[in-house]
Amino acid sequence: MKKRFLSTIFVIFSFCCFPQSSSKVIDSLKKELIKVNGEKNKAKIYGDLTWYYSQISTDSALVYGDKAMSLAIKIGDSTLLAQTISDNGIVHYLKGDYDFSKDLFKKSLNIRNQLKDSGGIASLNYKIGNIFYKTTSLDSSMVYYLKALEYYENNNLDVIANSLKANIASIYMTLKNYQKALNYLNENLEFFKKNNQLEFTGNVLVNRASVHLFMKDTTQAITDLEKGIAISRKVNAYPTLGSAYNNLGTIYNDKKEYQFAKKYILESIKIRKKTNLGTELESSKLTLAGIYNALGDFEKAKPLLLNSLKVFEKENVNDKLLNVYLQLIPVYAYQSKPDSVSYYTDLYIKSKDVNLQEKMQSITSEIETKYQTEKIEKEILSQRADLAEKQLNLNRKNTQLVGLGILTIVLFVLGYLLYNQQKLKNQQLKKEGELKEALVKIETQNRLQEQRLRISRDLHDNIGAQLTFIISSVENLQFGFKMKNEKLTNKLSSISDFTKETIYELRDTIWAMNKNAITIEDLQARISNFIDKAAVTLKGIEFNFSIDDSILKTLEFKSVKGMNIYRIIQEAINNSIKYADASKVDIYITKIDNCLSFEIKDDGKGFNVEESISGNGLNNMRKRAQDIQAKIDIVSDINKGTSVILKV
Amino acid sequence: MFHILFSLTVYSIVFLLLALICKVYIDVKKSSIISNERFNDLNKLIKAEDEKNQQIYQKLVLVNNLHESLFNRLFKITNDILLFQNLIFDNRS
Repeated sequence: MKKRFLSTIFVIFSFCCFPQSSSKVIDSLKKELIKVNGEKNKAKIYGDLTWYYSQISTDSALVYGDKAMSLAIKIGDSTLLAQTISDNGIVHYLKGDYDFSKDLFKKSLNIRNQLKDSGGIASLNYKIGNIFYKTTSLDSSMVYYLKALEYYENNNLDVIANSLKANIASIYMTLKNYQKALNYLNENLEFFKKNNQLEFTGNVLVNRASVHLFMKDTTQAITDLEKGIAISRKVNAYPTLGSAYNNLGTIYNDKKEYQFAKKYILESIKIRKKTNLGTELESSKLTLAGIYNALGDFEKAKPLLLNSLKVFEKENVNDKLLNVYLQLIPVYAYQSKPDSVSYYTDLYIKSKDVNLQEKMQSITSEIETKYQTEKIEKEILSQRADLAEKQLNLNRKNTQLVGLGILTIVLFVLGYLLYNQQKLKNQQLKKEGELKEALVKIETQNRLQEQRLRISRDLHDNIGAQLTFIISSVENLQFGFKMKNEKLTNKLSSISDFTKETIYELRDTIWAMNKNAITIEDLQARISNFIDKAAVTLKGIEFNFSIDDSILKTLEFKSVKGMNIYRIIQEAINNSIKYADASKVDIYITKIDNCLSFEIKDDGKGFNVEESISGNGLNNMRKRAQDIQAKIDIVSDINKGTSVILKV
Repeated sequence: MFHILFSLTVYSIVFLLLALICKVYIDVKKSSIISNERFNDLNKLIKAEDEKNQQIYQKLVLVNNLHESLFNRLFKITNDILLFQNLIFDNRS
């Protein structure tokens, strides 16, 4: 039953993969080999020849396989190398050299994994699965089949996927998981029905009937076989028909419905004579012989049995031979040949014992292998568990170390930040302290100086009063005592005038002291005041005072600068009044090239600036101008008036 | 169990310390801002006092000049008065 399965799969696969005769293809490939250029193309042709020769002659296939592999290694083409190794693997598989074949497939699989060739990987998984199936490592076989199936299903490669499902169904049947085997067969059946592939539909029905039989559901088995027969007849699928009739006959034979059984077995024999597939014909004949024996028709049974005996001895099919020996015993018993009966009985017993021993050995070695495998697997699992535990411990230790490392770093950072913070605080406090100290110092200095100013003010008040007293005393003397001496009178006048000047100077200074800064407006007021007083006492002189509108009235000068400017203007006006004999004095304040210009101009008699000796007044003016970093120009000529220009 | 407790403890401490670092950083920034404000205020006061000092200095310069001038003038006045006195005495005699 199982062999029927795999051979069916092979038939399907071959049908899919070999649409034309291998010999014809080989010939055309050999012709192409002569013409082709390039090692890569040659290697491909060698690979194809390997594939096609594998169906005819494995030795020739291996020759071409080795050539293909050598060229692929020489070229260094990984894809080609993977293919040639795989082809060689197939050849060794067909030769029955499963271990070597498996190694080659795994080598090819490694290369295909590196190339990420999903299709190639799936194909190799299928082939490796076949090898494991052949060597009855059903678990490993299932693993590889399922990997391959996933790929084929995801990529809608239904034909190959279905052939895989049939293999998987076979494995489940072997593992006596009949329900799962049925599930896969049902999927297969659905696929073939959908694609109207009647030949394969019939075949799957026959296989499904076998599963039902194992599940002791003879009714369903019979139904499936009858359906299988009906479908196979339509497409003349003789191998399937032969199997179906044979299985149906066997079922009826087991049910002891010998007439039906005979009918179906005879049909099976008729068809199997045409197909001539291995020992199938003899198998049917053996079943017929059994039926004849059961019906008591030993004469008919004997020739069938003796023919089958030869065939089965030649093919060394032990379980069939046992059946032949068993069937021959009643035949010879009927013919009253006790020697033959005894002979075949002994033969039967011996063969059965040998068979049993072989089976026991196989089972024992299987159990032993299973036990060893389980033992090794347990050890592996235990080692893996130990490794995992060690890994876990290591990971834990790593985590702890990392945690401690982070903690250390964080502590360092925190420590550094705290140190920095403290340092910064100290710096800030120090700087604040310095600033406060400077402030206190400057405040103290200011207070001291203010104190000095206050003392000076008091002093000036006092001096002012005393000077006033001196003036009034001198004037009293002058007007009270009627002095006739001119000298005395002049002296008194000069003392009085000088004292008055002193008071004016004192007052001007007090005026400047009382202001923190002297504005243009203040200057204007002071000068206007001075001019007005002069105009009152000196009626013959016209005074004009003007300020440019572009000049801001709020423009400030420091006390000393403002005072010096005022003094220079005052001195210039006094000079114009005293020495110039001017009738007109003009005072202008203008802005020239970002500089303030103070001009005092008169229309007096003028003087020669270069020849004249500078008096105290002119020297004072120059000195004051120098003190305030201003420029003073005195422009004058005889009878052309004088102009004093101060640029600040 | 120990591992879990240990890890929990360590990472809790780390978290707290990180929070503390953030707090310290924020405090430093705040303190900087406050200090800068204080410095600015102090600098403004110093500048104001400095200006005042300049003004007072200017006034003192004027006062010094005045005093110098006053001294000379008062000396001259005194001198003149004494001369006048002499003149009177000369005339009488």
